[in-house]
Amino acid sequence: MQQLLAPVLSQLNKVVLGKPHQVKLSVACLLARGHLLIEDLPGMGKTTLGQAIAKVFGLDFQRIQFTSDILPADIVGANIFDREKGTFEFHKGPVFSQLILADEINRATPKAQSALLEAMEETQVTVEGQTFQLPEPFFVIATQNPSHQIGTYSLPESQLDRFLFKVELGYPDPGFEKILLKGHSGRVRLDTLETMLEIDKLIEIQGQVDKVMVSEHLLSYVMDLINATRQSPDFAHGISPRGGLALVGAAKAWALLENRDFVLPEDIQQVFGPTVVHRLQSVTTSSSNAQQAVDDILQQTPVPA
Amino acid sequence: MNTKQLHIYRPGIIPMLIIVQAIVLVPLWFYMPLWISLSTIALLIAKYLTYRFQIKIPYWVIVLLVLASLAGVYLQFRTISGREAGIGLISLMYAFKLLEAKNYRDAALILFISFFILVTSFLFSETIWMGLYLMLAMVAILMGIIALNSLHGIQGLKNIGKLSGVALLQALPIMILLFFLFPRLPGPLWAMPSDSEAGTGISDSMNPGDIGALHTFDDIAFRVDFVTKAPSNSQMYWRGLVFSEFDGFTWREGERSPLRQVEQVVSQPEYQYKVQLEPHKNRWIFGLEDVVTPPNGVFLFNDHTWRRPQKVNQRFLYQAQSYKIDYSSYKLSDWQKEQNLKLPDASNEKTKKWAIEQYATVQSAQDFISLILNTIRQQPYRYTLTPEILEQEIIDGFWLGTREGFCEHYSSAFVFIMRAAGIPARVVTGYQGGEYNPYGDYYIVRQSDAHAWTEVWLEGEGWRRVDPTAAIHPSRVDVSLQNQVGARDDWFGEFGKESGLQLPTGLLQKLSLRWDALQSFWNETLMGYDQDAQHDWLSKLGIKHSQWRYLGYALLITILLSGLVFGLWILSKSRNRDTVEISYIRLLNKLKAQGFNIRMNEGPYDISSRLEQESPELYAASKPLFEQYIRLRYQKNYPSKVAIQHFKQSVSAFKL
Repeated sequence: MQQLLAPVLSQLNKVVLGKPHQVKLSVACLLARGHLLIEDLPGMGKTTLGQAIAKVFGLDFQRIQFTSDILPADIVGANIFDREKGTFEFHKGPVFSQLILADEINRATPKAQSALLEAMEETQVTVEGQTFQLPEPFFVIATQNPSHQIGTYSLPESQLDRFLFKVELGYPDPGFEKILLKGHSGRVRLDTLETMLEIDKLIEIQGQVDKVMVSEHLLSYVMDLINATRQSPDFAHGISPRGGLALVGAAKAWALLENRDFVLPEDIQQVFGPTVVHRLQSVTTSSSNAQQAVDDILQQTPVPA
Repeated sequence: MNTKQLHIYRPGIIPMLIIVQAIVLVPLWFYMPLWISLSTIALLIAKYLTYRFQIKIPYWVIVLLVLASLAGVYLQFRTISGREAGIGLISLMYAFKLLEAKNYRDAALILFISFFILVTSFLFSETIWMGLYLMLAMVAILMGIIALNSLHGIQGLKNIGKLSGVALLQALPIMILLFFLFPRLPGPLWAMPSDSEAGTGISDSMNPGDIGALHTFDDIAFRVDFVTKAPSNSQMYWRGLVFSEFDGFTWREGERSPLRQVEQVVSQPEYQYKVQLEPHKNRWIFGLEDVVTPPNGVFLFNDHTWRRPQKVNQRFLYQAQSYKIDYSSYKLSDWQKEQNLKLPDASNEKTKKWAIEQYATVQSAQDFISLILNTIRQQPYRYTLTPEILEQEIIDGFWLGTREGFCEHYSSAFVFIMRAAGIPARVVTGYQGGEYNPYGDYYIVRQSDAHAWTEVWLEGEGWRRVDPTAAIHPSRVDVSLQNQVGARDDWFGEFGKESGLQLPTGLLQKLSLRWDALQSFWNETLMGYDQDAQHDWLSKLGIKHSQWRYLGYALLITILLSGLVFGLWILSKSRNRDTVEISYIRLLNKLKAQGFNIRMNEGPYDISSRLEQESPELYAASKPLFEQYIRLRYQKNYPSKVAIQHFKQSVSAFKL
C-alpha cells in the first residue's frame, strides 16, 4: 500500500508546498469516501490543492465557482428542449464529474448550496423525476471564506456534517514562502504532475479502508473523546453518532496511509480535529476557541492503557 | 485523569505557589520571632530567584539549612513542640518544602499543608478581620489547587477564581453543620503550654504610677451584657483585686482564703450579666461588687475577688450574678482586722500623725470618712496622670506635699489614713464604668477605665466602698475619663495630648460602636461556641444531654462512611484493570523512573517513536514490548492468554 500511496503524497507535496499534513488529510478524506471542506482566505492555494489531487489520481475535474446568483440548475444540469428531436434532453451539469471543486461555497444562496450538498449525500441527482447516478469515485472539495467575511451565507450545521474534514491551509512557512515567491506559480507546477494512481486502483484502496481493524480497546478511546465533547462546557452540544462514525472511518483511512491495517489512538488524534471542529458549535462564536477547546479535549483525555 | 503527569514547571505554577505561601504566612509574620519571619521571606525570595534564573541549589545546602533552622527553633524556644515553637518550625519547613519542590506531588503537598498552616494564625488572633482574611486565603489556596491540576496552569485566572469561590460556597453547608454539631472538647482544643508573655491590664501589685500607664490604653478589657437591668454608670465598679498589704511603697494582695460556701442568698439576683473577658494572661477575673455566685470553675475568695485555676490566655466567656447582701451581722475576725490595719513601721510618719490628730476631732468612723473626703474636695488636690515622682515617703509626699496624683495615690493615701486612725481599710483595683453600646445592648469596658478605690470596714455595716478619687470632682465617675478630656482641659489637658487619643465624635463613634457590636457577636457566638454552648444549643433542639455524644458519633460515622463510599466509587472506576493494562502501566512507570516523561494523551506508538529520538537505549529495550502491546490492544479483539502472559513476563523482565 505504501508503495502505491507514498509517491502520490510526494507528488502532491511538490505542488502544495509546506503543507504535508493538510495534503495527507485530503488524501485520507478521498480514501475514506468523504468530502473535504477547506476554509481559508483567498489565495492560500485551495484551488491548487484540488487540481493537484484531481491530476494525481487521474480524476476528471470540474470547478464550480459559487456566486450569489448561481442556481441549482447551474450545478446539477437541466432539461433543455432539443429542436431537432423535438424532446427535452437532460444536460448534465458540472456536478457529474469525479472531483468537484466547489469554490467559495458560502457565497451562494442556501438553495444552490443544498443542491450540491444533496448530491454529495446521495451520490445521485434527481431532476424532474429522473434520477441520474453520479460517477464513482465522487469527491467534493469545497472551499469557503471565513464566515466573518462580507457576502457569505454560512453553511448550516446539518450540511457541514456532510463534509468529513474541514481543514485550514494557513500561511506557508517563511522558508516555503520564499520558494513560492522565487519559483513558478502553482499552475505551472501542476502541469508537471503525472497521474500516479489508476481509478480502479483508487476504488480498490477505498475498499481496503473498510477492512482496517478497529479494536474494542480503541473504540473505548473514541467513546471517551466523544463523551468529552458532549460534556465540555465550551460546546452547545457534542458529537453525534454519525460524527463518531465519520471519526472512525477517517482514522481507518489515516491508518492505511500510515501503512497499517489497524487503527491506533495516534490515528484518531491526527484526524480528530479536522473531523469534529466543524461539527461542534462553540458557545462563543470564535472558531479559534472551538479549535482550542478540541485540542484541550485531546490533551486531557488519557489514552486507555 | 492522571494529573500526576502534569509537571510544575508550566508557566505560572511556581509563582502561584510562592504567592499562595506568602498569603498563608503573612499573618504569622506578625507573631513569629523576627528571624523566623525573615527566614521564611528569604526562602520565598530564594525560590523565586532559583525559578527565575534556573539555579539549582545543591541538596546538601538545603539539608544544612534545614538542620540550622531546626537548631535555631530549639535555641529560641528550648523546645520544638508547643504552640510557638511548633508553628515556627512548621512555617520554616513549609518554606523549605517549596524551595525543593520539583514535581506535582510536592506542589500538591504544599497546597494541602497550606490549609493547616493557615489555621494556625487563628491561634494568635481570633478577630473578625482574621476570619475574613483566612476565608480569602482559602480561596487563594483553592485557586492554587485548581491551577495546579489544570492543563493551562494559571491561565483563565478569573474562571479559576470563580470556580474556587463556588467550591468554598459548596463546602459552606458542611462547614456550618460541623461547626454546630461536631463534638466540642472541654477546654480549648489548642491547650498547649503558653509562653510567658506579659499580660496587659492591671497587675498584681500597685505602685503609684502603675495604673497611670494604663489610662493611655484604649484597648478593650471586657464586654458586659446585662440580662435584665444594668446599674448606673457611676455604680459600675468592676472588682478585680484587693490589696491589703502595704510596705510603704507597694500595695500587695494579703493572705486570703477561698470561700467554700457561698453566703446565704435571700433575694433575687440584683444583676445578671455575661462577660466576654479579653485575654490578659492572669488568673483574676472581674465582676460587680457584692459578688456571690462565680461562674463555673472559678473560685470566690473571702475578699470577694475571683480567681480562675488557669490563666486567661484566651477570651473567656462567663456569666455571673450579683446579689445585695446584708452584712450588718458580719464581724471581722481578729486576723482580718489586723491584716487591714497593718501599716509599715517608721514610714510616712507625718501622715500617720496627721490622721490621728484629725480623727480626734470627729465622733465616728463615718464622720472621719466624710472629713477626709471633704479635705480632698476643698483642699487643692489635683487629678493628673503625670504627677511628680515620689521616691520616698510617698504618702507624706503626696498627701501633705504635691497634692496631685490619680486614683492610686488617692486610694493608697486614703487607706493609709484610715488605718492610721484605726479603721480597717483596703485598696480595691479593677475597672470603673463602661461605655454603653446601643447597637449590641452591652457595655464596653476599656483599659482606660482601670481604676483603684477603697473599702472601709464599718461596724454594723460591713465593707463600704469609698472612692476618694471621686471626691476631687463629683462628675469624675459619672462620665468616663475620655469624654472629660475635651470639657475639662485644665484637669486632663496633659493626658489628652500625651496619649494621642482622637475623640470619636458623631458618625465615627457610631461606626465604632457598631463595629464593636459585630465583634462582640463574633466573639460570643462564633468564637465562644464551646462545649457548654453546644450543649445548650443541642438541648434547645430537643437533644438530651446524654444523647449529644451519640449525635457526634453518628455525624463522624456518616462523614467517614460517605468518604469511604466516595473513595470506593473513585476506585471502582479504575478497578477493572486487566492484566494488559496493569503490565502496560508498569512499563510506563519503569520508563518514567528512567526520567522519561510521558503525557497521559500519548499513545504507545508516539511514546515509542519519541523514545527512539530521545533515548535510543530505552527505545531498543522497550520496542518489542510496545509492539506486543499494540498487537494485544489494537490488532486483535480477543488476544490469547498466552500472548497476555508473555507480555506480562516481558514487562516484569524489562529493566535497564
